[in-house]
Amino acid sequence: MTGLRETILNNVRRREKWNNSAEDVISCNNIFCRVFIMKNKTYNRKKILVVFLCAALVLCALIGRLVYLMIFDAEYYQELAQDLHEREREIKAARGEIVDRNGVVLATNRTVCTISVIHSQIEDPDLVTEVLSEELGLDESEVREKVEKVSSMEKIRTNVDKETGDKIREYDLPGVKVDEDYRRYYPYDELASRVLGFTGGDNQGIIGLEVKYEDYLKGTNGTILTVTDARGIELEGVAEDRIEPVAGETLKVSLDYNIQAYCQQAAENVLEEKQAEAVSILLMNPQNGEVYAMVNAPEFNLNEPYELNTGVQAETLSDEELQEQLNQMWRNRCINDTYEPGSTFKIITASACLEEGVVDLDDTFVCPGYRIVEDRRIRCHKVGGHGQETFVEGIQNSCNPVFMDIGLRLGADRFYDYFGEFGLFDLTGIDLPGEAGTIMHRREDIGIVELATMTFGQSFQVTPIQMAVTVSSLINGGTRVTPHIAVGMVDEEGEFIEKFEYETESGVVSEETSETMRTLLESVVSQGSGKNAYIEGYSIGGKTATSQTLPRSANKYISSFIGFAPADDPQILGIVIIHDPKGVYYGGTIAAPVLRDIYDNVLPYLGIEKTEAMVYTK
Amino acid sequence: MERSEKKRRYDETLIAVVLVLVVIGLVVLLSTSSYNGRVKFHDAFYYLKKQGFATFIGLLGMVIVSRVDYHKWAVLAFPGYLAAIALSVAVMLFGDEYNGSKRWLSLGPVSFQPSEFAKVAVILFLACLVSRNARKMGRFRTLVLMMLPVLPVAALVGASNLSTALIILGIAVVLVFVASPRYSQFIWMGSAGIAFMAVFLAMESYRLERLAIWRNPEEYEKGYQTLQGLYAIGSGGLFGRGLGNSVQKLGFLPEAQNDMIFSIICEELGLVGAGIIILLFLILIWRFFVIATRAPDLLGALIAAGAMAHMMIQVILNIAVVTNSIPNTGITLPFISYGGTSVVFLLLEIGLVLSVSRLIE
Repeated sequence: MTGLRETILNNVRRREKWNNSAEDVISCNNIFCRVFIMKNKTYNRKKILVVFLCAALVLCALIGRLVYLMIFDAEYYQELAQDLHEREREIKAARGEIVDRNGVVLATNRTVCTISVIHSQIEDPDLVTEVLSEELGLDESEVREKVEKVSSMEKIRTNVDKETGDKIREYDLPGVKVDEDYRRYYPYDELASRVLGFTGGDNQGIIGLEVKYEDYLKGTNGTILTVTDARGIELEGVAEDRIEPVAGETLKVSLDYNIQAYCQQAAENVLEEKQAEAVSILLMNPQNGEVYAMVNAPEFNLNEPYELNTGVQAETLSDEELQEQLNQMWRNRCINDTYEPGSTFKIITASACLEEGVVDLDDTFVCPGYRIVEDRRIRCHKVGGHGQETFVEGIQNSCNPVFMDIGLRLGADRFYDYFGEFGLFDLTGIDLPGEAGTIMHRREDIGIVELATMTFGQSFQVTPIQMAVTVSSLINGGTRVTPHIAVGMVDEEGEFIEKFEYETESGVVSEETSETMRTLLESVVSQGSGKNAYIEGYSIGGKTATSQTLPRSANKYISSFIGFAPADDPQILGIVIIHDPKGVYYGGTIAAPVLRDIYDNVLPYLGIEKTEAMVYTK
Repeated sequence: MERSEKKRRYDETLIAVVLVLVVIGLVVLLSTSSYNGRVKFHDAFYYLKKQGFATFIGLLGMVIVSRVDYHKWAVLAFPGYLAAIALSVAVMLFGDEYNGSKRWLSLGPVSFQPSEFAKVAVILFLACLVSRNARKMGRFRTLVLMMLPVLPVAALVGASNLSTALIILGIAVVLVFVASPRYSQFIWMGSAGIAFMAVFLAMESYRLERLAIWRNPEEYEKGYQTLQGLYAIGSGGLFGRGLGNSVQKLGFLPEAQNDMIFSIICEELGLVGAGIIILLFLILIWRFFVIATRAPDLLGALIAAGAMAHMMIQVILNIAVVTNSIPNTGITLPFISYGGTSVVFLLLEIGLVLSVSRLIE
């Protein structure tokens, strides 16, 4: 600056001399010519200096402003700019697998493609429409609409198999994007369909374990942060930030693939043989609540969950009808639906009466084939009657009058109390969605007739899982377990990351009553109505049931059998329920053999050795 | 005339700075406009080609103008003034609209912005007029009389381009200020000007809205451009993203090659690059100042002072707007913003100043 001042001052000094001596005006005929000679005076130069200094000052101030903006405010604006430039693209996390107790994979993932179009990058909309509608088998007008829609990105189709995706990629059409993605895949199609459940378009669980353990299975999606221009087109050569997705954890379940598959086969056989509407089979460990198998035949294909398993074409139905039928198909009868348990409920009546001490094993009863209760004549299943019999014989014969008698001894109020104590009013708490509650009379509505019918399992409804769990608690020494499918989350080596804890409640009945019940029920199989479930060398306890469904006039029946083995130390409890069998419908005739067949295979499979059959009968 | 035999030297520093600015301008313009060119015209070089052509014409004109004694150009001062008025009227009647402003006259393939011409015309005209009346410049009446002929041009230009009108008025004020021996009158005039601005702003609510947008550009939709400029500036840091690497120019900052080009310079070249550009403009203004003070007569001094006023007002206002130091108004950055007419007349103006510098003893 001093150099500059020096120059200016020298200049000024030099000029002053010249200015003072010079003549200001020289005449000229042109008005503009006259000005030529006007001299550049000192004050003019001073003022030019003032203007220049002002300019220099302001420019320096602006540099100061820039320093402020670009150094002190920079972070703030950079962040805002980054938000504006970066687009997030999600990378889907692989959904966690579901494996059975032995590590057999029941649900896994497959690579599929999502085809989308980016409007602004499409060069030949006609070609794009043609190729996509052809390769994806879509309606051309539908595709065209999406191709021509002015939007940043339009999904044409999701869940396209990898082969088709690769084929479309090979066309190399500008504006067509093929993104790889995961799709849920169930290697055994129909196996445990309602237990495992399936996932929807966004890979979220819809029913079953898939929805119950969604939070564990879904994992955490990752993101790709890319820099785009204002039109949303990604810039090439700009480093992208990537947050890797975290795959979902592997869910280990208590199901056993072999048992499940065998039970499913057995269910399907009896379903076909008896032309039944449905067959449910449930196998669980009565000691800890682990479910080994849960079959609801007919199952449906988990890889095509929107196709009806009845063979009805979806096109013939209205949307509402289709949805209704799909919802029906997806129901897990073991959990979502209630039924009248019928004679299997006599286990509970007997336990309550034994616990209360209103009946002894050698009490005698007379069955004329019916009982008159108030003004009603309630029949026994044996029209001629069982005649005189002990309580033990009564349970072996599944004699209704015997149970009506002991039920009346107990009284409605106490009976109702035992209902509660056995946990029948509570949900079992199984880890599957949509468990149904017990449908029961109100306490004050239970008259003698209601009480009489309830003793043999009619006029109220429970779920199969409720029956299985309640009977478990009565025969395992009085511990009510929480039935469950999921055992825990495991890592890739199958080591537990987390083991799930389930509540148990002990003291539901006394150990004594429990032991008596095991003895009684073993005799039902070895000598009574359940003899079709008998296997030489195994001690099996059980109870049959045949109940008429509502409305009674329809003459539809539910045949069922609950059995457990070994009878002295129950390790496996099974329940077989056949809905609406044609022909012979007695539980002892058609349901008990199913469980016998299953036990014949499953007991050795589980390592339960044959022993000498216990003989309880005196 | 009688000085013609003396040795004639151009101001070499001025030439060098101008050439550097022109080259930097073209490079930055290419970097800034290639995306918009590609998007709108499928030609990344669209804007560069047009600007390059204009620059070539301008440099040619600069050489021709600088080779002729500026006293001879003074003959054209009055016709030039009339032409500026005529063209401004013409643009009002037959002008082309672009971005909502009627600023262009089309002559075949060439479009032309009369307001750019008006600035040079006013500098030359007023320099002649003032130097002719230099003796009476101390009188307030003369000051007003000098300003009067500028008003019609300013008004006509201001009808479509308020910012340029303000520049023209600014140039006029600086010229009169330089020619006058007094200061106090200008303090009064300055005060009156500020009062006038206040009333002018208050008259229309949309002008006040501009003030509000200036304070908080985030909160207004119309603050978008300002905010995007700030994003660009803030993203630059000390050394910038590197030439060509601006993201804001990719459609985020609309028309990045125009008024807001300085923010892209900040983003790509950082504080250092932006500082160097400001420094180049400061050197340019300093050379104008040196030429003005050394000019052989008042006419030469005023031509150089007018050019200086023009350059400094435009640079200061542009950078002040881009950095959101003042409310937004559309002013281009000389030599760098896209605009063929602007660069042609700027170079002609430089030619005039060079012509003055040639006569310095």
